[in-house]
Amino acid sequence: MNADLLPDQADRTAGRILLHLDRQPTGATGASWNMAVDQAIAESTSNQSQAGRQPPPTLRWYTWNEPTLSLGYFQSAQDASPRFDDLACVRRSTGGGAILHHHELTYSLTLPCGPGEHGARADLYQNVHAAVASELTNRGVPARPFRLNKRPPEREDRFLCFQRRTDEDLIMCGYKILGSAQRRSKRAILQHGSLLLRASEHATELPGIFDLTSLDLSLETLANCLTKRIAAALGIRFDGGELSPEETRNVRRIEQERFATDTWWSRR
Amino acid sequence: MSRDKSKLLYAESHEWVDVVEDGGQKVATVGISDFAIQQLNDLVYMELPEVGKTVTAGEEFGEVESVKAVSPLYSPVSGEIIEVHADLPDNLDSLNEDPFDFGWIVKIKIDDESALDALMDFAAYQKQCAESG
Repeated sequence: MNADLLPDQADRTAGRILLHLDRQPTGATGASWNMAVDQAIAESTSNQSQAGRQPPPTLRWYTWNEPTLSLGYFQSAQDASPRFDDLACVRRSTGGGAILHHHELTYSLTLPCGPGEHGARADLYQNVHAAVASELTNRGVPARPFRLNKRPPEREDRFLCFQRRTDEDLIMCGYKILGSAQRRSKRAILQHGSLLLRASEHATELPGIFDLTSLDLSLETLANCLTKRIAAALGIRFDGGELSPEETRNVRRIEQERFATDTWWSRR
Repeated sequence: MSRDKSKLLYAESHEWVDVVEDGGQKVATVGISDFAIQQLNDLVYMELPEVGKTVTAGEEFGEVESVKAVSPLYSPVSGEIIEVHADLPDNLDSLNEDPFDFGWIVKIKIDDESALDALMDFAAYQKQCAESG
């Protein structure tokens, strides 16, 4: 989709933007809190949609309190390399491979959807990644989806997401710098994504965009610029916002019942 | 004997249902439609429920992953899971080729037949698929 051809902001769907950068709100407890927030948003979006209301699309940018290994929903905890044993860890609800969240900008995008929809929303991967690519290209650092490369598909069974290659992954200088994954619920879809900024000392083989280029932006500037691009690509007007009281209550419940438990981590 | 997909019932969420009488009890065999499998595109994981679990119509009974997207499977009927197709998660390629026979996922002993009324016949399901593109 060409962002330049999109409707004026007034015609766009009203959306919500949440920024949880550098530091989580008081009471937040780290990786499990991050995952619980996204799940609470997905549940409230799906519930409202099922009830016939029109919940706003929600874009959330966030970082992590400490280096954290997140597993894709179907990955086995036993497949994790011992080199990550001392790190914080959490299992995501979205698919794909494991991610070492350290020097990165993470996003979640939650949209209501219609009945009977299922499977991956390829257009959502494509539009968000194209929006990020357009911002980077505009700053003189081209990145493009892996599907445009003339190389054969990579093996899908590597443990770390950033060592895998799928069609919509964003590639810069031969390195994957953006990958996303999704989760369906009844009437909503959650898309998680990680934009790698710098290599972590726990995975030095995976450089980020600041390692590969001379770019150096604050997290807030980067998040704001990317929000504008994503808003244009999806026809959404992100106007700020916060978690509702109900979502805030649900975050605590979901974190305690799911993401912070050993049962959830070792379910596979 | 192969199942005739035009004789099956379908849920809005794309599960097919084959209801048979077994010893005076109605048992639903459940799978995913060929339309849905085609759209899911490259299934890599499937999680099945445990035998003995009670499910409610419209609620999740399993999950699949394709193209890094996790999607729930929804039970089209209420009842008890009496059998699961344990070989299926390791043979997902075969699901593409034979969704209505090899591709059965679970068998459910129906405890409330009213949920069957909400299911579509083949013609209505085809219409839904056509409308969703």
